[in-house]
Amino acid sequence: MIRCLIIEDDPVTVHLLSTLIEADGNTCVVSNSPKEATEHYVSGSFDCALCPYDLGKESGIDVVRAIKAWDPALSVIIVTSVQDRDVIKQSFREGAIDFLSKPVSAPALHAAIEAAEAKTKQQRNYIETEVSLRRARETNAIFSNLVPKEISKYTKVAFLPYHEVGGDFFKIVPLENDIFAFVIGDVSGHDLRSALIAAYFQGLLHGTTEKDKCIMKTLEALNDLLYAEWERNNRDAFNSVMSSVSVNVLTLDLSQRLMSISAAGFPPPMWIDSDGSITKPTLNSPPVGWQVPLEMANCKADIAHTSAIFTATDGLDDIAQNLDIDACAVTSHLFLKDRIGKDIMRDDLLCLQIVLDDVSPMPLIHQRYSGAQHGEVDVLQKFWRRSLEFALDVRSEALDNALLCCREAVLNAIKHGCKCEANAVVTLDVSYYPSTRTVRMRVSDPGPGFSYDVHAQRTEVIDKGHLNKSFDDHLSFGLIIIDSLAAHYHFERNGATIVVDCQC
Amino acid sequence: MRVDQVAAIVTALKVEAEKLTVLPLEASGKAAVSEIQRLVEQLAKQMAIVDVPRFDKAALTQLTDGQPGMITDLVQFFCDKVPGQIAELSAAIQAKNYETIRHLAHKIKGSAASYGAKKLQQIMFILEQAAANQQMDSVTAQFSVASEEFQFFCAELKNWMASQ
Repeated sequence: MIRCLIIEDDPVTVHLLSTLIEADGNTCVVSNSPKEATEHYVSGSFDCALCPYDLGKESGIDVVRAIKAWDPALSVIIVTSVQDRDVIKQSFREGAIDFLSKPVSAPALHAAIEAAEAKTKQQRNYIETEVSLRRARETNAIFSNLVPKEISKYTKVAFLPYHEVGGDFFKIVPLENDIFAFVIGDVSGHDLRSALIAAYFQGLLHGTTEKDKCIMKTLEALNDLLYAEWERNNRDAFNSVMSSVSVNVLTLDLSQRLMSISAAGFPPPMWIDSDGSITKPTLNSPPVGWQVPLEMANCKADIAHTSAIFTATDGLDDIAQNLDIDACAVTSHLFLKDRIGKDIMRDDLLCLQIVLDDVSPMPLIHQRYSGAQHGEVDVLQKFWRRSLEFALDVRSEALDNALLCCREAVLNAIKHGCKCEANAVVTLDVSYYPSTRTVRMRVSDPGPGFSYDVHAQRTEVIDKGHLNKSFDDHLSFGLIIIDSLAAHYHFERNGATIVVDCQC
Repeated sequence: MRVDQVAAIVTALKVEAEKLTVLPLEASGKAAVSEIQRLVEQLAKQMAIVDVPRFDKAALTQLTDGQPGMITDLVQFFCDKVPGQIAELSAAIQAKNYETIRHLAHKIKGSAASYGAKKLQQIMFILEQAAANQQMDSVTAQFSVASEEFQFFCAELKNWMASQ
């Protein structure tokens, strides 16, 4: 039975339409105007609406607008003797789904209201799904901001959903006094199924850790469940649906300053020390749900000098790849600027910052270069520029100077520390100290270092104009540039590490 | 005189009226020509009505998908209700309320179309346009034939019903 609303002030047309509609076993109610209809009936009461093109003071277009504002899903059919192409076009633009010309035949009317009912149902389902997805996303956002009070001063959360709904989540589990587990995860897919699994996992985690404080047991249970589901689906379905969960578990002993990491399928966490050195361990293991038994990559770290720890879902790496910049730069931008444009996102993004020092540097670049990359320095410099400009949202001469210092320090390390050998590796860490607006570059190579009075050399070459053999040597020339442009620099490890500070 | 002969005369009159417009006339002469053209146009519209069949039986049969019981009810309702609307139309014409005239003519036109009253539909179409353009003499002229046309249509409709 189709429930029709007829908005019409002509009794002859009303009688005709209601007779034809009711003859098919459907029902109808009549209103003289959309105002009367919206005042007397509840939105969602009808499967289709029929209205004329001309309702005296109101045009059919006005009627369509009023009905759509009242019940956006309700399909509207215009019944008229006006055969104007522009009128028809405008009616469709406003949301009418059909246009019946008088004389209306019973079969044509019947077909039109059946199609309208189907369209209304489809629209109602669509709107319902949209609302559910929005609510799920809002709920996910609430979950992702749940931080226990005792740890809230240490924790900053950035949750930027890209899809309507997804499976990014995080949970902090208090284990003992001053020991907390930070669990960040992402269920594959971006639908209600992903959100449901994420919610289920969080509930499971909450329940089991309340009892025995063993997160690994929970992960193993989830792994078994997802793997069994995959096996069952994969046996007899070509298009099997498989869910997996990438997860990082960071267990922090805040009093002993120790951290253990268990990772499955995610980009590993990274941490930055107060001197600007950045650590990003290599942890490779498949996500939860891929194999039985569960194998997670593990490592331990002394975080005595660590200022901040960061862990994020893979949406962060997606942005970095999309913009061809360092993932550290995306992290810093996220926490320094507190926003990321949706136009550059490709996935949901959840990022967690655990702040251990009040004055913490922010990571900008963490890269390793082979000694064989000496010819690529121009490309590398462009990469650094993009990363720094994105992270700090600044373009200035000071930044140009910092980049030049970085170039010279890396070139020195490649040429002299690595001797341009492919198996020798240079590490570049660039960090930012917001309180002093300082960009710090730490460049380390595996060489023995050197003993060199750069300042004296600079005085000799630049100030006195004494060109000698060492001027052709890139070591001295590069260091003279750094000596001229940097706010401060010093050497560590007998010169195998140079630390350059530039104000930006 | 047959309809096609009248139509031929109207067409010839339209051509002659067109020729008048190129004459170098004084303002009063131009006004007279304009008036002649308007009258010829009105005549052409009347001819358009004359040419239209009164009753499209196929439309009425199709309307109810050939269910006779339903037709009887619908026809009775139409014949009972439209006189009231025509009376409302008359009152609106008396009051020179062009918007009401236009809307009523539009409604009757739609009903007429649904019941296969082709000629009444055409009259109401012209009346609706005349009301929209606020041409009272054209409105009056169309209304004078509309009431009569409705009576003719109802009579023909009832005869046809009786023969079914």
